[in-house]
Amino acid sequence: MIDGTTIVHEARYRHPVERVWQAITDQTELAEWLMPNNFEPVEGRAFWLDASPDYGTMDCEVLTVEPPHRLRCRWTIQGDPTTVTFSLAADGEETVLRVEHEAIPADKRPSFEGGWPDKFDDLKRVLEQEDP
Amino acid sequence: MPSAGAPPVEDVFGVVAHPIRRRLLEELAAGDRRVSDLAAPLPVSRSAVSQHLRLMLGVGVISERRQGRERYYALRRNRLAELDRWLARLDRFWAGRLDRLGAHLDANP
Repeated sequence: MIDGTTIVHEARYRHPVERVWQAITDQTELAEWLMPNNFEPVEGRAFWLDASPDYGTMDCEVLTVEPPHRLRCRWTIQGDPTTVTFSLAADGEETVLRVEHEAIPADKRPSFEGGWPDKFDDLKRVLEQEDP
Repeated sequence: MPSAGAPPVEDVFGVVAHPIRRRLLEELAAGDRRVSDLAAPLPVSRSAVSQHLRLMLGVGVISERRQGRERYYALRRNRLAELDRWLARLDRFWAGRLDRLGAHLDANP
């Protein structure tokens, strides 16, 4: 789902939260489902993700590691710094994983005090009108 | 992703991220305007509006034409549609990857 300029996805997995955490923080497992990488779950650590051919190789940085609930990284996509946050919540033996990808660079985000998504929707509505 | 030769998406983000430029885009979406038309309802100077317009021209989200002694500015909707396409593509990327994560977990419990 696209919320303003943030991509938000939630997925439920029939696996415990520790297992899902491992799958999103282990280099070999990440390569299995996400993309080739040299990720290590250490705050401040630089890493790369190979998103070719779509996005090329992305320079990234680990921002927050809070096992097994929160992982936040910066992905620089073709020069645009973006932020990806994984949030994991245990639900019995299952896990709800929420991914938020803030696609608008933080330093470009104006101080709308939360008014951004609505305003952006208004703008989009206007722009989606047919060209005269 | 932008097509070859198009300015980076970052620039389009930069355009829509600024409140004054967003107001200008909304105004131009209603029709072509002169600088004086655009500046009148805004709480910033006409020269500030001109600066925003120059930036927007540079990124390619608006165009300029002369009509007599006046210059009119017009919206170029295709450039802004790139932002939507970029977001839509990233959205599909995540949907696909999270499905793969599910399959990976099921195969490696």
